[in-house]
Amino acid sequence: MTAALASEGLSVSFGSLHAVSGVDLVLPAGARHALIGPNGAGKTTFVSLLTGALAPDRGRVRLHGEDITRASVPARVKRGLGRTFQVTSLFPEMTAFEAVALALAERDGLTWRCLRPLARRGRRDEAAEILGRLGALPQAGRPLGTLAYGQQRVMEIALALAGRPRVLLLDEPAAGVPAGESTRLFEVLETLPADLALLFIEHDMHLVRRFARTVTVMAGGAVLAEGSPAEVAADPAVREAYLGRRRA
Amino acid sequence: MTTLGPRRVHPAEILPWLALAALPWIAPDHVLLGSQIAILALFALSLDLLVGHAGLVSLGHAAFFGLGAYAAALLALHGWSEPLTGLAAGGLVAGLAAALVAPLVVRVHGLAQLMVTLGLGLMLHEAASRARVLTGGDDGLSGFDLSPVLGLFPFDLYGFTAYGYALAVLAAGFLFYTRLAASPFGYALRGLKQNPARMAALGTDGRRRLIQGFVVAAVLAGIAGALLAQTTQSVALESLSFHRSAEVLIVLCLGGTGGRYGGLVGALVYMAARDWLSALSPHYWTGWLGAAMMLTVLVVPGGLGGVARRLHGRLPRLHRATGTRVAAGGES
Ligand SMILES: Nc1ncnc2c1ncn2[C@@H]1O[C@H](COP(=O)(O)OP(=O)(O)O)[C@@H](O)[C@H]1O
Ligand SMILES: [Mg+2]
Repeated sequence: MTAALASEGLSVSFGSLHAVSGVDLVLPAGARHALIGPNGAGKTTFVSLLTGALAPDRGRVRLHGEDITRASVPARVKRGLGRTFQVTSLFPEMTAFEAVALALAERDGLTWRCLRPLARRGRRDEAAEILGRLGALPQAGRPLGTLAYGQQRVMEIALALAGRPRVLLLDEPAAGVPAGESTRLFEVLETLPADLALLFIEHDMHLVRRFARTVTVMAGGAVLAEGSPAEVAADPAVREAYLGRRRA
Repeated sequence: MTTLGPRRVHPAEILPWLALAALPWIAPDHVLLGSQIAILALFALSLDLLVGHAGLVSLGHAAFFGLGAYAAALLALHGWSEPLTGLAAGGLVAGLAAALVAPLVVRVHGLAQLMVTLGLGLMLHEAASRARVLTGGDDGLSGFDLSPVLGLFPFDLYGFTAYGYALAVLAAGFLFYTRLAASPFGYALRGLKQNPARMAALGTDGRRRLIQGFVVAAVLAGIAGALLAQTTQSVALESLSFHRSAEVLIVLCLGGTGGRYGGLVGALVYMAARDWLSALSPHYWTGWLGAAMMLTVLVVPGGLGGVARRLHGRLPRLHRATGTRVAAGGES
């Protein structure tokens, strides 16, 4: 079976800095894959290469076997690749409900009936269902800019889910969220369709152990180790990378 | 249980429209001014699709207004005097021109966008002033007649038909704007203004959507221009001048961007102030107008329409929490 998402030798440099160099990664359908590594390891840059926000210097990206290395961001989204942003990136003046409804409308594309209200019935129900699943219904009517930080992180996921992605990339979904809430955020992710391929960047090893089945460790733009959470945690090179940092 | 961005229509909103419709009976000698206000309001509404929704800026929006005006005038001069098709022709010509230049306009942002739109406007103005055969140059076009609106209402010397016609077209444009603002298309334009990277992550081809928005706005501007040509039965070169592009921007700032009453309130206040100030002080009125503009922007940054909207926010809302409406129920 072809992988849901695969990168081959993906590389990009910023000037003399090799932010991502030769990264191979395979996400099969149903993956629950964590990407970890010290700050500045190149994780976010790697995700940007996957989504098309950045163009690679070398390497390719395949989505369900199809080479999408040159496809634009929206074109990749249309093919089922969703993402969330490490730095919260929402529509501050739209309500939570409106933003999700907009995401649904964009997923379905413009039609000749584009003058019908955004909030018509089918879409309303689907938006309510997504918000409900994430426990965000109570905030449905509030502008996103006024939500608490943790609630905004949930909305990042809600907008990504609205696109009904088959591959979902989450860049530190729980960054800055209080410890108790971050576990809850990840529990929500457990309700995602089983065949969805999920890649998430996360620093908290407890969360990684609990929710990931595979882990890739990056350092200095390259893959340092890959395996089950237990294997990776026992890897001397990984310990070295983290301990080395701590000493510095 | 909550509102959707563009506020729902409140029954009380019929009142200002009734007042406008009653103008020929209340103040028959003000219908000419009334027509000018209606046309300016429609023009401002079209600019608001760019500025208030899509987050584009333009110093050349009069290009589309003027194109619409010339298209309607030329059509009438060449013997096609039916007004509604003339309006449509004005919108069509403006929309086609916009489709040609829009890719250029949405490529750039901010100051560069101001320069591109300004440049396009100036080029068109210059071209129109030279193409005397077609446009009449500095003399403009006049001396054409229009057949009765809908075959029922002939244009009269007092301007009553012209006023009713202009008001009806404004109302249609207003309804269109309101629907567009509440539609996925309107939301997408505002989404592109608030966060283009997020829109891309939702799968939106932002540039294409902005081009579509630009064309829609130009069509509306072209209709406004055609309306001016038809109601005054003349077109001047001034209709596609920089001055007119600047004026409509002022009107929009006065009335406030992004709300459906911004254009109307702005046009009303601007024209009334101009009328009043020029009578009060025939030589210095533009100075007073400048002072009034600065004061408005400083005292009510959201524009005067924003004040109306805030008042509206206090009124009890239609369909408030009617049970079946889960989470932020309908605009419908
Ligand atoms: N747009 C950019 N221009 C220049 N350097 C960048 C850019 N984006 C990231 N970097 C650098 O690339 C390296 C990797 O960054 P990033 O991918 O954000 O790391 P991580 O997400 O693993 O913390 C860092 O050294 C960062 O400073
Ligand atoms: Mg990062």
